[in-house]
Amino acid sequence: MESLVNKYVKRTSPTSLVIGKGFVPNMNVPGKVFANSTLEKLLLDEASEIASGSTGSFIPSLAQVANVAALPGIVGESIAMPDVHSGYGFAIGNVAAFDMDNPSSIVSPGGVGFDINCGVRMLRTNLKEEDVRPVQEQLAQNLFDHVPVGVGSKSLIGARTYSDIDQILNYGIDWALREGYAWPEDKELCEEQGRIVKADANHVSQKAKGRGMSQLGTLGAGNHYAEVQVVDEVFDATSAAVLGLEKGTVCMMIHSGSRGLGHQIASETVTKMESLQEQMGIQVNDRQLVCARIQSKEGEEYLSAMNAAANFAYANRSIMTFLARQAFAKTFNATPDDLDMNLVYDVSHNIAKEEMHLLNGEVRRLLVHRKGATRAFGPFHPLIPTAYQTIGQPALVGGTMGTASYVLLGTDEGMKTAFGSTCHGAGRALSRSKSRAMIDSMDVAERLREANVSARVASSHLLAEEAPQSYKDVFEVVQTCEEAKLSRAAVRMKPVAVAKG
Amino acid sequence: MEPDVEWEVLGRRERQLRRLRFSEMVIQDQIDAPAPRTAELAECAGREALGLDGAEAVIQGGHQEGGQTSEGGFTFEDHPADVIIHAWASSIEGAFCACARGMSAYMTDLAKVEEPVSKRISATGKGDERSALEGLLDTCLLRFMLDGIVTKNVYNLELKVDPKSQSWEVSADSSGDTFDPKKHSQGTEVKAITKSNTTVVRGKDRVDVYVIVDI
Repeated sequence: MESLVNKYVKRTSPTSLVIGKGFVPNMNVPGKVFANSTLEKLLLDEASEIASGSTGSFIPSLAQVANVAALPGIVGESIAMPDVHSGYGFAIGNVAAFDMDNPSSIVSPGGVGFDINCGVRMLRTNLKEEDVRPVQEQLAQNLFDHVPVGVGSKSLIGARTYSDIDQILNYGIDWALREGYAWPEDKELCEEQGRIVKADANHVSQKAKGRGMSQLGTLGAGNHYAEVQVVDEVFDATSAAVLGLEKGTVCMMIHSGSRGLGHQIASETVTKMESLQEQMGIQVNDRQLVCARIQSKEGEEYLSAMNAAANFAYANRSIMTFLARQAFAKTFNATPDDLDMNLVYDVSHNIAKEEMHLLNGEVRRLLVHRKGATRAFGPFHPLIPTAYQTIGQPALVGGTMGTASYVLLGTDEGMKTAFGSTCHGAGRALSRSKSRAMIDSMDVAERLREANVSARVASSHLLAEEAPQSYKDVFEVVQTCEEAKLSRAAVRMKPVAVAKG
Repeated sequence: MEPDVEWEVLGRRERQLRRLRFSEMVIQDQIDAPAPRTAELAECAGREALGLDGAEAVIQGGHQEGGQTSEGGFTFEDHPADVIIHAWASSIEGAFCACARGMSAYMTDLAKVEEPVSKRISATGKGDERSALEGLLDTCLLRFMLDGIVTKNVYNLELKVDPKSQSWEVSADSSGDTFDPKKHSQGTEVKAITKSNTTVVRGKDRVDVYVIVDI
């Protein structure tokens, strides 16, 4: 592995590396990784760790990014964001675009991930830091009580029948709006207006719907969270004003996705596509990269099922928004309306989207897979909400438990170099089992207390697994995105109270 | 989920026997004797609930990491974001069972799970035995997600293959309990079984399997 890395991985600028063709077999285009020297070291460590490892280990992210470059129909480069780390199939933080008008182009469920439309939603309030400090413990408890978190947690509200689920799958946030869980203003400030029209519930299996039924309105476990934050630094006052944020503003972030419904669709599709792989005549370097031609029946079915799962995720986040608004209302004894609990934005970081991009001076219709990467279109793009036209698309970047989160804004430069994408979070630096072994949960709890963060966690293991030390430095990641002109930072938030699975 | 009546009337000893049938390493005499490690643990931790049957996995010090059965075991290995379940046994069937158990152990502390509910589960896969293993784990995961049943033990595993079409069929008995957050601990949720780098290593007298699950 080491000699391969030396031969094919070259630094082209202070913020980017290129993975040359030949790093893995059959590469159609080169790979590109946005990383500064600190992040590069982490990547190379990961690669060498595996080289020394034995059978049954994982594939390093550099090789995964290159494997994606070997898929048919890929255009431009297989791009990795600064927070990239090894995943399954695609690396987490991998962006790849496929030409939709090329009949051999493919769509891969491994490029979307199991948690379809996993994303972040941010709400603001008219409260200030001094309003929330005295009641932060109570607020954390209320959030934890209202929002179902953790393994095996059951939904409190939501779908009772399969026809409910079908409507959620087809209508997304519009369902939540009709049922009274969402506000009409919410819709305007969601990516895709909270509903992807090309969705078809008929392509979602009964099993998947069953999993969705019991989990609608639950946060999940692992890295998902609901967090109350305070804006502690404003980098661009004008943009922050447009976003309705200023220093000291209390806001709220919800990170969740399509839950078991999305996982089931992905699992089933991977199994189905794998059995058809030979028949379709597609060669892949990793079994998890199985795919189907976009224009084939299987490809179209997956896309409409994926869109349906995306709609489910919008409805899911809307229900949790409802629950969070209730938790605030209870804590502050005021209606969510009086607290001005409006959406700042809702953005997905695990999805494949049909988009128009300028490639070598030509407008092309592309299917852009973003797995662990956020869309961040530059200013004046037609798909950005009217309110944010002048500042660019907000990309919400969640930090880790106890560290800062950021609101980034898309740039024109990012449109050219990364299909309008930026990072999605800090990205893991330590494995989960290493974290469990090396980090003491009590120690993490102590640190959170020192940082004045009230935390409620369903599983004590999670405290160690999700400890800030387990992740890359989010500042380093955001900084690299800024230097590479993928996005610019607008505001930074620090956590006050967090509820996690 | 209604309990399997036949299973209920079998009695403890017969249940143990069935559970152990897949392994050749365990001879009948060992069945009622607690494994030394288990006894040691039970003594120091004072936990009778550790399950003194020879076939029960040892949950080290109340921690859900790692588990040993007399015919195999599992452990969790390093992966940046997810978890690799590494399971082994003397036979491939045993390794599959241990792997399924390992997945449940990541989601909850199995020492607190009893086994009132049982069911014959089955799965199919195409290509090679890896897809059968992924299918089996997927079935266990679905049982948790849809019916809310944590699978504590998988045994009597049968692995069949049609050599012509390379389609694999796996079926096994499973037992576990309905998950109740008040009674059982909440570990980390397994989202899905990935096909990324699933590996089956058939050694001379030991089979190792590695599966990456998405967390």
